[in-house]
Amino acid sequence: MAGSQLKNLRKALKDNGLTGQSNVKGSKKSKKQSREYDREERAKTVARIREQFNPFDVKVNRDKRSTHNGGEQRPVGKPGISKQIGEEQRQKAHELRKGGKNKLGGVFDRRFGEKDKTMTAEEKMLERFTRERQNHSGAGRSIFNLEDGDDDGDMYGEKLTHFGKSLALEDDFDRGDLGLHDEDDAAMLEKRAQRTSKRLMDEELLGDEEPQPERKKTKAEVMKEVIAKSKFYKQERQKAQEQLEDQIDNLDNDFDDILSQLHSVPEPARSAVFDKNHDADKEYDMKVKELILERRAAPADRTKTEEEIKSEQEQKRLALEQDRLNRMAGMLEEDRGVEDLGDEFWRGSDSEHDGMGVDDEGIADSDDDVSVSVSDDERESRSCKNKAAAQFRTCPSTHEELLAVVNGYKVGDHSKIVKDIIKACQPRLAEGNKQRLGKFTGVLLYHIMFLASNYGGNEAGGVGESINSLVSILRNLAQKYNEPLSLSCRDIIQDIHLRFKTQQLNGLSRGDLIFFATVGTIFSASDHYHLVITPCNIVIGEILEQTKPDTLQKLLFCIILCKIFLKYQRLSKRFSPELVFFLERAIMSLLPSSQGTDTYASSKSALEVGVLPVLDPASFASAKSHPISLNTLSICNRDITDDLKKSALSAVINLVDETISLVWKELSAFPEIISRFEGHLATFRDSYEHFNSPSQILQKIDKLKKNREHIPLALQNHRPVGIPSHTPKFEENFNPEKRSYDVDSARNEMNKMKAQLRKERKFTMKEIRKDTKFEARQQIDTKKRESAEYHAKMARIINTISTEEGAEKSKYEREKKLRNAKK
Amino acid sequence: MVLSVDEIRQATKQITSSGDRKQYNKILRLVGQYEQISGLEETKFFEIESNLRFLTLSLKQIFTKFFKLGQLNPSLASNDNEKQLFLWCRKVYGSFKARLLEVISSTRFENSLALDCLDVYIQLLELESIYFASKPEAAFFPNKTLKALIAALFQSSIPQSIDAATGHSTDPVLQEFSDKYYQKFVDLQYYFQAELSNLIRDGTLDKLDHSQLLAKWLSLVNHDNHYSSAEAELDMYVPQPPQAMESETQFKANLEQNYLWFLGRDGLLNCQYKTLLLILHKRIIPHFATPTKLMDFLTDSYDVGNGVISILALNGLFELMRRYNLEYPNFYVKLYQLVTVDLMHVKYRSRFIRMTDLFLSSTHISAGLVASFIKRFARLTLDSPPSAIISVIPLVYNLIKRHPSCMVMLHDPDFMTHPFATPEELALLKQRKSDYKDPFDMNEPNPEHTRAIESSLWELASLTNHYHPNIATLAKIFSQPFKKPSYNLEDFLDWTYDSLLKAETTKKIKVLPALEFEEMGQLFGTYIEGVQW
Repeated sequence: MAGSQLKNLRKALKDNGLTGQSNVKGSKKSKKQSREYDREERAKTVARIREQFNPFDVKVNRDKRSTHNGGEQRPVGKPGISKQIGEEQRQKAHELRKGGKNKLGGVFDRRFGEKDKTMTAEEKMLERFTRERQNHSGAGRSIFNLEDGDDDGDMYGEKLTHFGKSLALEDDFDRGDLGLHDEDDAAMLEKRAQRTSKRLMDEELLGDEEPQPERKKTKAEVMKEVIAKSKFYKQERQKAQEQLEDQIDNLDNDFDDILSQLHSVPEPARSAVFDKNHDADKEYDMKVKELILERRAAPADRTKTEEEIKSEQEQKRLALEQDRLNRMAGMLEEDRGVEDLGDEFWRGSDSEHDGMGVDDEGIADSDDDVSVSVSDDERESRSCKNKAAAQFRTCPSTHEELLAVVNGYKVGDHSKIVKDIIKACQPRLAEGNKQRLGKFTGVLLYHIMFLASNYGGNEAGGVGESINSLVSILRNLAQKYNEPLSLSCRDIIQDIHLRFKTQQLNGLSRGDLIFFATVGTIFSASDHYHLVITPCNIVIGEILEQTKPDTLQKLLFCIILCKIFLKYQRLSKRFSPELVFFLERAIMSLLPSSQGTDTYASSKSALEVGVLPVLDPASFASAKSHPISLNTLSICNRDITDDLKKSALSAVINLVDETISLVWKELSAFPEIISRFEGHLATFRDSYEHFNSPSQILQKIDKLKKNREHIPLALQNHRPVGIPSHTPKFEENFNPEKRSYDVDSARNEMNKMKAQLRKERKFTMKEIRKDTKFEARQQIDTKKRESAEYHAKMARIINTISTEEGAEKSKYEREKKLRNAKK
Repeated sequence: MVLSVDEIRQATKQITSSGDRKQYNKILRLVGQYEQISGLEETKFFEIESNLRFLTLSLKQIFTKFFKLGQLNPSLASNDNEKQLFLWCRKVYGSFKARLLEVISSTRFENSLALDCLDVYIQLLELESIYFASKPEAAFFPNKTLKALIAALFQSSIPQSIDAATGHSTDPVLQEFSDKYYQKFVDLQYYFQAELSNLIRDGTLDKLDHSQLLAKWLSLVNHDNHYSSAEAELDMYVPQPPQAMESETQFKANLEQNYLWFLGRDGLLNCQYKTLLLILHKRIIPHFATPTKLMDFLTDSYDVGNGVISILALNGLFELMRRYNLEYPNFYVKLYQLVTVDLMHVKYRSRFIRMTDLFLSSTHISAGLVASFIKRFARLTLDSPPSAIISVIPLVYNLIKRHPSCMVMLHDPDFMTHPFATPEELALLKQRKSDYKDPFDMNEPNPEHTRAIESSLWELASLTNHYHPNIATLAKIFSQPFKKPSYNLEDFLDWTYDSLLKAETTKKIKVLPALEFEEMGQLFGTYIEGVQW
């Protein structure tokens, strides 16, 4: 279109016949008519023209992609119009809502007095109370009275309902055996009725009688009927009650007469009867009492057969063993309660009377006591010591106190005294005994160490016996007082460590060896991590690593330590480098002469070779080797004999043997470990021809070496992990229209759904926002309108007042003038 | 017999105040007093010490006066007679100086007299620099006088004057000189080093005890306030020092020369080696024009043998190689030889491992060499304490991570079967397995020739069975994928039995320790066999 916008507008108006000469000649009448007629048409045309000339009312979607098909129809949107439409719709909805406000729906609060502003809180309460009273106990009703349940309601006079159905259990005896009692069931009722009526009809057909169609009763009718019935029954009951009361009254009235009659009759015979049966009665009564008091009989456990007991024990053992294996593998069951653990051990100890020579006191089943059974021969000695037992009432809380108690007794009696103390301090006997006994476990451990380090010489055997029995007592106590015992063990370990740090081996004594051995028997040494055993292992390792075996005493001490360590590892078979280190040094110190066997050894400048050689090769002729005695740990240097050295040597060699078969042979580094011993062993073999063990070990090593394959490791045999690739994927048949190339149709569907949901959600949010904005606008409008109305009203009032005032004033003026004029 | 204080005072007064030159003869007597102390015992010496101290100060007063009068400078004399007198005075002054030096050098025990003598002597230096200059206000430094003092200082030998821990000298005179003069005055430093190099060239110091010499040298130079240091705060001692001492290169050259001479002495103490090696980076190398000259010293200290010193020497060599392009082919061989059986049981282990980690951090070393180190460390873990194992495991991990070709020691795919192997392959594998023999040679000193890379780390695999739970778990990293880039070695180095035990015993008891359910019987006999009470 050429020309200006205005010109175009004019032209368009003219074309549509809206402007231009209006009174064209000759068509005056018809035109007028058509004008009237075409008003609507005209408005439409105007709107169209306006729309045409307002470029902002129409929004044409820009075509981003193609320019070649410019002639095609492009989608056109009319934002202004659609906005207008939306506005109108909202307006409509709003008006609808406004119209229905305070008229439709909503929740009504029917509770009594909730919204009643005329009542005070107290009045409300009072009112509620009276209502409740009336409901519950009004007219002597009982809640158990089934007949009376017709008009009961809750305290606010309303029943609880769900979907209009009462939630209360209603009795429906009046209404047929099916208990249909509501309109909802009406259909069913009707069907039933029809069915019965049909049947009836069939019967009646024979009897030729027209059946009355059964009319369904309305609820009101039903209720009325029910009420009537119940009233009737109530009346009946009241009548019966009155009758009964009358009878009772009559009886009461006659009672005096009967009594007087009774008194007049003499009764000597009756008392005689009582007298005669007196004893029997008593007996009988007593029997009854006894029977009442007697415990009710319970079914006894079936006596188990030997096999059953055995298999049960076996199972328990297996369970314990499994637990132990789990702990060894380091699978900690953190969630397992302490109580469970205790219980397991309870039973475990019960089941193991295998008669190992130790008097094996079973732990009592009761949770509260640790009984120490007393064997027969002890009982005699105990009886004479009953007086002494009295003094054990107080449980020693320190080792000094215990020493004071046992002072004067023989070492052999210590275990008996300790047992007495434990018996006297049973937790059930007094409060706090549990803690005291807990502390006592630590004291007992100290005492064992004390006994071991301070007694010796000829009474050693007795001390050993005593310590053994004390240790078994401690074992039993440990099951009950695990925690205090572990704590004191840790203290002792630290103490040993400190003593070793400051004074080396001189700070340690036999007691410490006993401690390590005792701990090994009490605690489960095979655990992967153990609160007591692990520190013990560390300290043992430290001692073995930092002690130079240059005297026989040190050597023997460490040998015993090694034995204890190996005992710890008897199941878990763990490797200790310190043990290797010590054994090598021990062997080197015992080498017959200071000959470096290989260059590897000669590089060990810190090691002294052959400080303690066994001099006489012939001494091995007597094959028997003696066990090491603890006493030898403290002998002085001049007492060292070749025999002792020999036993030390054979102990060391045996240790090597034991370690090989227990630990080393399992390790992949077995040849590396053993290579440092082979040379020395060969030296021994060559030097002492009567000494068999080295050659035996060498043979064993050869055999072991032959049987195992020593090949390179393959530790990193993991599943290969794919390298993530980030190159773009080439898509065949690419089509920009296609949204997804997903092969999985289900996933595709889901994604579609998700996208749709997202879109809808966005749209809805937009709508809601628009709605609220509209609401707000409406509100403001109403407010404005209201205030305008108000102001107008006020202005009007003021206006009227002022007019009235003005009128009155002018009236007054006039009057005044008039009066003045009169005067 | 020693003159009393009063007598000395009187004589001094007569000499200084009267102006009567007849009194001058008394100076000879005063100076002669010093002869009395030669060879005197300690107790007797202290009886006369105060007198002599007073004498020293008095003589200083006298000579100060002489200086001011110009009586010590014969060139100022106006006539023959005067010249004769001045020459005489100069001679007396010379003998006074000689006496002072004698006191300093001959002292056998700590005393205040020697300190006084040192102070007076150095004050004389200042006077000389003023009055002995060729003309007033001319620049002059009395270096001959200083040289004599240096010689005296080095000659003095108080027994047991070497600090055992650091190897410094505890000689009080020398310490006084170092603290009060040498470390504060730049001209003293310059001429000290210059004259010292002269002395060395003369051979004056050759016959003295080497450890004593080095101890004194250490006391003098072990500080940060050198002429050539960047942020030194130094003063001039003499008012008019000559132009020559502004040459820093000359000072450095002298210092370096002297240093090398002292370091080249044999018979040094271990503690001195240690101190020297510890200050090498901060206090020695910066003052050297060519630090590579230290190579000989470092090789010597490596050969001394003691473990810490060797590793410190290697550290110094490493520094020289890294920063100053020192060519040192045997470095890794020497390092390898330090990895001995004892290493795991000594105190300096963590320092050694820290430095080894540094030395082996180079990416230009061969995999075979790294493999040798790994294998050797692994072998040593078989008898080492837990603390050593804790530090070796991450070290090995980091080495393998850095040199992935060493992975073959942990994982050799040649010795694995796979499910699709053909019978021929299986037979071949079996053959290979039966033929395999560990080629590693523990006794081979050269890490390039040990064939460790053909071996395998069975030792570390065995550690998964260690008795300490944490080590067993730590050793398992070798069988897990090597995902971690590296371990921070510092976290693993400084464990001891102490700290291990502390970590255990301070743990809270959450779960009660498990008990043994089996009966063990008697402690000795059934539980522990072969031992009796």
